[in-house]
Amino acid sequence: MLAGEGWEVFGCFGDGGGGTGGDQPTQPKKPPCPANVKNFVNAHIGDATTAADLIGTSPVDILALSGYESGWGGGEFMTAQGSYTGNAFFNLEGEIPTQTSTTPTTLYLSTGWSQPSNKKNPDNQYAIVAGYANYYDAAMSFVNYKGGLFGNVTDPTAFGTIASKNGFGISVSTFVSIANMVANCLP
Amino acid sequence: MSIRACFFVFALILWVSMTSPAIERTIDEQTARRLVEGALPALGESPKWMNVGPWRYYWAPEFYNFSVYRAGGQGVLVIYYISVNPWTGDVWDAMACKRITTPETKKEQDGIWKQSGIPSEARETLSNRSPADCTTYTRTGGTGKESPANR
Repeated sequence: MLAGEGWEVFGCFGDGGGGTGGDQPTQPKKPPCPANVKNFVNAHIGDATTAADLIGTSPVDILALSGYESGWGGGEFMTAQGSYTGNAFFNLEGEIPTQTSTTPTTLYLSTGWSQPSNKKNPDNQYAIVAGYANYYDAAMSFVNYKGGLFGNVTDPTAFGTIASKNGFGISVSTFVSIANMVANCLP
Repeated sequence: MSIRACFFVFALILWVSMTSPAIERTIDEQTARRLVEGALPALGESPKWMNVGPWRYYWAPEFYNFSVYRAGGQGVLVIYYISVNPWTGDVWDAMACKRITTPETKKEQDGIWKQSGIPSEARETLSNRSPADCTTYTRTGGTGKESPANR
């Protein structure tokens, strides 16, 4: 049987059929917090709280945004490659006009850049993604570079709205649902 | 439920039970990537600007998982996390837990299903399989209000 499917078939033997269970799949029990999200929250709640306090926002919002941007830690730019350290928890980027251009001023605490693509963006620029040593450094760079946008905003809808309007590729509804999930995973 | 209906249900369950453990994927990774690119307009994105890369989504290992990204131009990489059902070709926005498709993608998915030779009765069951926790965790969009306990 497929995992997660709970077919009720015993009505075939009982009262001759016609039971309400019939051939409808039953709803599985809903866990309060997915394991991958739980692991992410447990690993980074301390640093996220430090960053949130500096901005005046909620650690839930910081964890939700960094969780989304990093694919719960499994995103492509989380992995170290050569001198690039990975850990791009917020996917902060710079732009350069040619592939051999001098990189822009390094973001606060970033350890270097990864150029993810040979494709230029609509601004005719190449994107380069900032790498960090760890979550703390990535979060401090976010605070330094983008924190002003989110100053004293704790409501997930407001936070998600600001994020979606300022380059983060996440819709407001997705952000809110992810924030709710993160909240369910808090220790 | 009639005897005939019972027999059919048991036969279907037996078939799914026998075939599922093998987890024979109907589509390959290249096809999954093509489906992702085809579905991007549903997210308001053009494949022209997007790059499709790997995503280690441990929570849904049976799916093909991709991070799809482009330069955002506002200091942040625009990124989506997409999972593809390896049996039906259904394309999911994995974080939003929503299927995304376009008419062209739907056509290709129908073709994939036809070619798979899997009985049509099983399509809904396989199609209902979603990446990660989508089936077990309802993402309602919430109220937008954070409980005091979570502050």
